[in-house]
Amino acid sequence: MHSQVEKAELAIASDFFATTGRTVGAFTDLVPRLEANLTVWETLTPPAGTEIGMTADDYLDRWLADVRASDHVVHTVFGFCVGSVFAAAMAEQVTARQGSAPRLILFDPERPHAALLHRHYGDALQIISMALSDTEMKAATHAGEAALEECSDLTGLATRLSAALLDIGDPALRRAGLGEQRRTELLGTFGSFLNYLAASAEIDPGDIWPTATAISSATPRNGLNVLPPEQRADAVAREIRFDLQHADLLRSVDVAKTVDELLRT
Amino acid sequence: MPSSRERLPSPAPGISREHTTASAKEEALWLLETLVPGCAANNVPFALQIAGELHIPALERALSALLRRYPVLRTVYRAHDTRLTKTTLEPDEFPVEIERLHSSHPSVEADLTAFVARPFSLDGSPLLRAGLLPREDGAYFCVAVHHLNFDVASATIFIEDFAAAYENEVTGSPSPPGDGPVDPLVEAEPRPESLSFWHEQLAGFDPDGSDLWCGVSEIPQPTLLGEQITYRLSPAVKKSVQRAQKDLRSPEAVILLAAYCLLLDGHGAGPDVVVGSPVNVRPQGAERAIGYHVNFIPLRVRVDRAMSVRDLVLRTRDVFFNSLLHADVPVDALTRALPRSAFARRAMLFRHVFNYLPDFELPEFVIADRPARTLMVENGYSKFDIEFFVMSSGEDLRVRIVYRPEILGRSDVELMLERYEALLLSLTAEADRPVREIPLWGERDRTVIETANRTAAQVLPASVLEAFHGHVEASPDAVAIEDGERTVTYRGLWESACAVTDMLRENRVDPGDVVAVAVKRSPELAASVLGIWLAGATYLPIDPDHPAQRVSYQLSDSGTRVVLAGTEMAGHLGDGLTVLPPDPVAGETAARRLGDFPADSTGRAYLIYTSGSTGRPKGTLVTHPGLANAVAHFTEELGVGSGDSMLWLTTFAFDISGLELFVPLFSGGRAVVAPDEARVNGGLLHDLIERHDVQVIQATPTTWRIVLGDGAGILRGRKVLCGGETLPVTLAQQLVATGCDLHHVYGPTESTIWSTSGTVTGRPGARLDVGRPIRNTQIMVMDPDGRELPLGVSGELCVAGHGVAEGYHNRTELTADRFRDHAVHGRYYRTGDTARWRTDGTLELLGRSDRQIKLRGNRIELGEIEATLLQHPEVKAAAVIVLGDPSADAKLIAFVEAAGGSLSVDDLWEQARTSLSRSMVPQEFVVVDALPTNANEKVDYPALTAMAAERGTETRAPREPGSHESDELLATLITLWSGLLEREDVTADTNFFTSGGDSLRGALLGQRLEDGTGIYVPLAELFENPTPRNLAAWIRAANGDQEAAPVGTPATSAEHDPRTPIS
Repeated sequence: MHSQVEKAELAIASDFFATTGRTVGAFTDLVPRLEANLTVWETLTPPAGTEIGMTADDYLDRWLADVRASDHVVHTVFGFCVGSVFAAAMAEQVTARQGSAPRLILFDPERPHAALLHRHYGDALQIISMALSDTEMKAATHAGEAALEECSDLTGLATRLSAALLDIGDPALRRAGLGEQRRTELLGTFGSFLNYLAASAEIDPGDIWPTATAISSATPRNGLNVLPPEQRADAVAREIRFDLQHADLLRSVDVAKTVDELLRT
Repeated sequence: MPSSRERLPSPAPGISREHTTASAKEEALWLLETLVPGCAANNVPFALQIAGELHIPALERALSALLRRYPVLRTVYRAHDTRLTKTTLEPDEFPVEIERLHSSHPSVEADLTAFVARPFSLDGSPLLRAGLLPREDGAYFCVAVHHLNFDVASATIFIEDFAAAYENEVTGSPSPPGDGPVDPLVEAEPRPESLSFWHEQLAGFDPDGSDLWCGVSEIPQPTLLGEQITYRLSPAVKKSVQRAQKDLRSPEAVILLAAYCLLLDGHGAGPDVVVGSPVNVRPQGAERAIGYHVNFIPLRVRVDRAMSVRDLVLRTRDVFFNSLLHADVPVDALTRALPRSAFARRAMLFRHVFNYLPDFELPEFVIADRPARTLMVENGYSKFDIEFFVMSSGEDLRVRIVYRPEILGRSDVELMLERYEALLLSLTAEADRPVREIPLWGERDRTVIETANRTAAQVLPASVLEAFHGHVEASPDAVAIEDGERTVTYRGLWESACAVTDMLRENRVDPGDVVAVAVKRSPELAASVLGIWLAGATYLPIDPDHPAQRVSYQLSDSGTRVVLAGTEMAGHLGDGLTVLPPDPVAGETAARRLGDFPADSTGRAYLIYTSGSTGRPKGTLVTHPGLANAVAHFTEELGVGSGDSMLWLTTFAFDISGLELFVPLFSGGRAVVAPDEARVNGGLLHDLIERHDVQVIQATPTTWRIVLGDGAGILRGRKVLCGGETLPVTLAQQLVATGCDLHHVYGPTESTIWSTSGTVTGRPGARLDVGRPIRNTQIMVMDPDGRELPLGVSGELCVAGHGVAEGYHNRTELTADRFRDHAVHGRYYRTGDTARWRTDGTLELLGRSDRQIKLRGNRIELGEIEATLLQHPEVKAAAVIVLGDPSADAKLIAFVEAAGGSLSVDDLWEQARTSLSRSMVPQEFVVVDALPTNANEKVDYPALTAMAAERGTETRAPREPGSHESDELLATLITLWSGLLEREDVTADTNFFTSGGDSLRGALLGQRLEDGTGIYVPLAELFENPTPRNLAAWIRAANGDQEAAPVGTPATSAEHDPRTPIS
């Protein structure tokens, strides 16, 4: 590493580093727009397939091992969407280790819920819809609805939805000419994402989020926008709202400016 | 959340609280809130207005008494990940607060709605809130309870008990005996026979068919906000319903329900109609249980349109009573058995609700010596697209409609209500008529549409030829045609026409024969047409520029023997034809030969071929009266007369060109010939208009788009006609801004040139209308069964009246299919265009019915995608096509024409992605210099489809060695890009994901790269490096080739390594 790095502040960015088909802005969009002298480490998703059975603590251990091993002081923890739940837990553990609390800056922080998992299932189906017949599409849609209604916990729902996508998607993708590795790559990422969402439900960020600053988009289904007004007021220490779509939040120059200001305080 | 945890007191030490899992029916209420966060659709409100002031401590004690008596009101719920649990708080754990409300809205109703529409949280917080709004007209005590603990029937019980409790508190009376706690009612499990009844009853039902033909079917992110209309039906309706009860041997509820089903069927939700209806499921002995004890039963009434109204009422009666017997099944247990619409976030078995409230009265009573009354309060939401509450009491019938304004407009709902009233009035009289014949029109429908269609007017003279003849007699030396420097008088044109007639007769052309004319726009073409008519024959316009095969097909299909054409055309027209060149029209002539007139002016004027979207071209036979009608109408609408001029701009093989020639000849004005180039050269058009002082210019939107830049300055004060394809609002705005008088016209060839017209003024709204029927024309919007649709309901636009063509030449079956008979309006033509009447009597065109497609389960209107792309400031024109099999691998391709500056495909893709649902985002964007147009100057969709298909084929052909041959890796990647994107214009910098690629194609690319070269590229890297150049660089870097560093990595002052893992 370069000498400047040692002087730079360390920040942890918590997000599902989805690289397959992501159209939503990511920390890779935000960080280049920041003026602050900052080193950002972003959480990396375990390779598809290895996440099976991982709990929230497993994820946290994996991500914090390097921080523990280094001498870096973590000054800031960023979280995006459900990554904000893990961000809360990381901030808590970092505080315990280094004795001082990092800044916590959350972008559209959201707790996982069943409808969210189901929504991502619908999105995944759209991605592979080109390879599906009408009948397969109907069956997949139906399987998703049934899972949503019948599963009693998020982990079970994540498993059901991953399995449904695999059952219907795998033969279709094979038919489309994809080898096993590619199929796993495409469908496995989805399973990995669902497991990540489900695992985050084990964390209660309710004590930590009220110390954070939240940066919110205007998309009604994301972040704090889903909360009723009386809950929203107390959810975080400060909320800064932008008239932007959720997908564009991390791409915005204005958001980057605001983050720079927050980092100066 | 901390706030809610603090709000809820912990249970006292030693009390162990039982948390039970909520029922499926309760979970369904919760599911709705997770799908539409922050909505208060589950809040059940009510209010009391009490005269004078209230004693607040007594109110609080009374509320406290009710909370003690009904544990269900103290029940709280907690939403876990996918589970809902509930527990009941002790009375002392439950806060009893009455909020003091302030009047801050225009009405008391709005004040109360604001209070009751605050959502409850399912986090253990109380699900009841009460407020007091003091006003001059009394105190308003308002309560909202979550539906999980309450329903409408509970409100009545609550009010009675609350009134008594308040009175006791005020008077200090002891509580009456038996005032102890009432155990919550636990509903029994559904009976197996009920479950099987419903499974049988609902088998094969497809909720997708419930869309109405008005409003929109659903929006991507529903809010469920609701509005309401309350209306008292006239006393005559009540009487009619009472009569129907006797005649049709059914109770009032059934009569009202059957009419509701008929109403929905008439609006598109049939013939398999399912209506939800709430049923109170409190068993005998538990009538006074407070709680959520209502089930919605899905009443499935199959409307057979051939059956009589009487039989339909009986069918409805059977369904109603049988369903009531099985009301113990909550609807949420049934939805699982059904197919779902693709990506429906809500599993909805029905979206239309009927709620019959017999003996309904909002009672006035006395509380502690003060007059009081119950008020209905809205929570501001609607779970269903439309819900009819029919309240019946004594001689009174009232309808309260709650609806979702994001789905239906207020006007749509008001009109439905009028139709419901009309339907109920006619029910007895129409009892034995088949359902399909029952008119579903309200008074306003009838008035507006009949007024719009009241277009009768005399057409004088009766034909274009007769009018022309009149001008030849009256002002023979007036100029009829200007062609460059040439001017031709009416007399000169007449002489030449007579010469053509003579020539035709010499060649044994008889009246009724078809004579082709393949002459460019000129005085000679005008003389040929008039000469053909004088011979009693029918002209067939042939565009010399059309492909030879098409020309030859038209000539042989029409049975033409004689063609009027220049000798240079002779070789192109095929054998066996007599080709006659018309003589040049002389500028000045002296002789007059008026004796040859009149010719028959009731027969056929022309035979014209149109390509249609599929199949071979078809020839339409247009009559003289039809033509005269359109020409006479526009002569008057445009206010033109002798001396005025109109530009003859459109190719003569397109029927609208006739208007440009015949309006001047009919009105005694001048037709000014424009060269073809004027359709693409705005400067030339400008000069022509200026030089000849042209008053009227007609062109298609495509032409206007091309010429407006240079031609705009000259249009001020002139009359512009625009039609023939969709006129985008932005283009209409640009045209209006020129200061011209813009006429938006619509009409198919089969109803003669234009059938509707309207002027566009001011700032046009989001969608343009196409005006009203022209003279002697009636428009009908029809459903697939041929029923005429009322205002706001979309269906197929059909045209009746003078303009309706005789039919298709030699196409009996097609003629019988497209041309039908109407009992009142006579012969009419089915256009295949979808339209609806607006309430002002204008028509709104919604597109070709064949431009609505279903792609992978999603209903897609291609015109809507185009309209979205047109909103981009750099897009001048857009056309979207589907390539491939819509049930399998089809994709949407958008062709766009840039407005002038640079148009970024990435920006366009971004715009589409943020404004359209995912299924509607085109997979590929192609920027073209100009959209191809057909002979009629309309966007040529078949040509675009062919172009797109060809691009695919070309790329499958072996590539020529290109400039990248020296870089083998790059060349390989470009070939792969081309193959998967099915396009040939791939360069080293083509972004895979903005050029038609998606994740699946990306995976296929990775696969093919690996299969062909052994190089494995993770999909993630393709997303990071989406161009051939970047990916080649990445591959080299990954293989240690340091010469090729990754290209395009953004420069940044921050140290940023997003993939520095913390693991």
